[in-house]
Amino acid sequence: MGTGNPIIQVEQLTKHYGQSVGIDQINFEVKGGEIFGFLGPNGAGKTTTIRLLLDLLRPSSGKIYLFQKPLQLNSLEIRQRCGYLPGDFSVIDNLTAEEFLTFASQLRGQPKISFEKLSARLSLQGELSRKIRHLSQGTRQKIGIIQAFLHQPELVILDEPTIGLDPLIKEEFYNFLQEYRQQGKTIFLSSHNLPEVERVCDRVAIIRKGKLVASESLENLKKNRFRRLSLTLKHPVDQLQLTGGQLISHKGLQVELLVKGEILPLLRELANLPLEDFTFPEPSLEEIFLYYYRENQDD
Amino acid sequence: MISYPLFKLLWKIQRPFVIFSSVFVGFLQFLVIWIFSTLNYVPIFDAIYNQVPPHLKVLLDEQFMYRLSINGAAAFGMNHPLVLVILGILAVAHSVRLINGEAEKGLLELLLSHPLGRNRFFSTLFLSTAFFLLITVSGALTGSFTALILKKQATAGIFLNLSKIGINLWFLFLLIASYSLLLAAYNQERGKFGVAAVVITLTFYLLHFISSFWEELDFLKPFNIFSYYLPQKQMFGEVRFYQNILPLAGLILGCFILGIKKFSGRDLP
Repeated sequence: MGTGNPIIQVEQLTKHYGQSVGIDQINFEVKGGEIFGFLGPNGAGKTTTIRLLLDLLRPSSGKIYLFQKPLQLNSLEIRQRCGYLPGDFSVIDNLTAEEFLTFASQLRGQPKISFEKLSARLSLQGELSRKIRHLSQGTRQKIGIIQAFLHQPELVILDEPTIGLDPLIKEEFYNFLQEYRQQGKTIFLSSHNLPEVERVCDRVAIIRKGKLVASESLENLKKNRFRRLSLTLKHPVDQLQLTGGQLISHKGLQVELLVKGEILPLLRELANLPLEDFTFPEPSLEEIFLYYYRENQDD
Repeated sequence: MISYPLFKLLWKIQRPFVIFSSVFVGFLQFLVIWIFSTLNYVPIFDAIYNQVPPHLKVLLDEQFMYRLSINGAAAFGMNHPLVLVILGILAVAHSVRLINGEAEKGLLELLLSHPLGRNRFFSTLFLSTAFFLLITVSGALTGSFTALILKKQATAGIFLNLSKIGINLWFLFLLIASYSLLLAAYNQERGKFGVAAVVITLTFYLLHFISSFWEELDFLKPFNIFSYYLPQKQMFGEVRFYQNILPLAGLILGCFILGIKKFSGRDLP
């Protein structure tokens, strides 16, 4: 399956759990050779979508094609070509890491796959012979990553892959993802971590309350990105008028602003204020989604 | 039909308990026959037995050493509550844990994201349970045979009847495992359905026990799974082997087919 061909096609996909809606009529397409970010807060429908893509859940309506084939009719063949790291990665505790990885490769009918290279890259070499129950969460996560990439799948589905990883290993993992993409492989990365998605993805879909609120390139996402600015003043100011940002709150010496696009005009205005301190806290995902949601409503 | 890597994994997980169970029940059978044939309990038990009321005698027939012979002792061992409890734990816990317990932990999701069909997963689970139960029952038979040989009480007849009892016992617990699997396939919460399987089994056992001396409940016997496992009667040729095996086999097959159908169609986990 070549680069640029659709690898995942989701059409009007809906999943109900009794009366409640897991996801509602979502559509998206992931092309070969790209890293596709699937962004959303907890409970938004990310994991439901992934489980539908793996044929673990059955859709209430809608269609899923992987490698341009209907999923349910070709489930085994498709899963042979996919790797998967669950968000809540769990393995049998009384196996060693090596035993588990051997088991995973045997399940794929490829018992002689070597995992030395990737385990060395993730600094896991000394841990392979230890029982999984004795390993830290981060080390377990590395084992999960290795089992997902073990058989060099054409499509890898990763659900919150960097939970528990230390910053250095995270960075190494991001580099590995880029290299993997360059081999023409496709990665579907679900996350609630915006900087992570910004760091590695080519395109992004944003899901909120089971609905897809945006699906766009990372460039567009960044262009539309907003920041939150927290100011601490030296003394109270009666009338605060700033044209470079939208005032969210002003309580005593604390001021909260929302800034979209260029930051420089606002910084010039701030120079005239009795400023004690200022920070750019990372906006929460919910804020981003509220922003997108509002934008969509405005549209 | 079966996934060998998964089968090997299940064996690795259950191996300690299966080996313990097999050795434990084997030792118990050995002990029952050894003690019975070493000390002359017959006059003592005979005196007691002759004095008990008829209703209690009926109870003793199945629960105790029928006719106070070495054959009766061997059959009694195969119906000992400890044997039934150990096999019950194996039959219920193994099946329910693998579907519901691992679903809670997320392992089921991981396993089935691999190219492992649901039917194959379910069949492997069923066959591995059958294998573990067989090992345990074989342990019991080995214990009995060893004691009989050492005590020079072994005859072709007793070996044959004990083997039939062993197969009958295996089928009984395979049925318990089958309906536990069926229940597990219907839901995702381990505790709830593990308990349901245990409650159903205990209810069958209790009704079997009560109906053995309460004639008004006789009509329930054909519907009780324990009515198809009567080791004492089997030992003395009072029931036909296939009359017990066929209904159990039919029910096992029914539970398996329903379970696999449900499991392949449901959402996971």
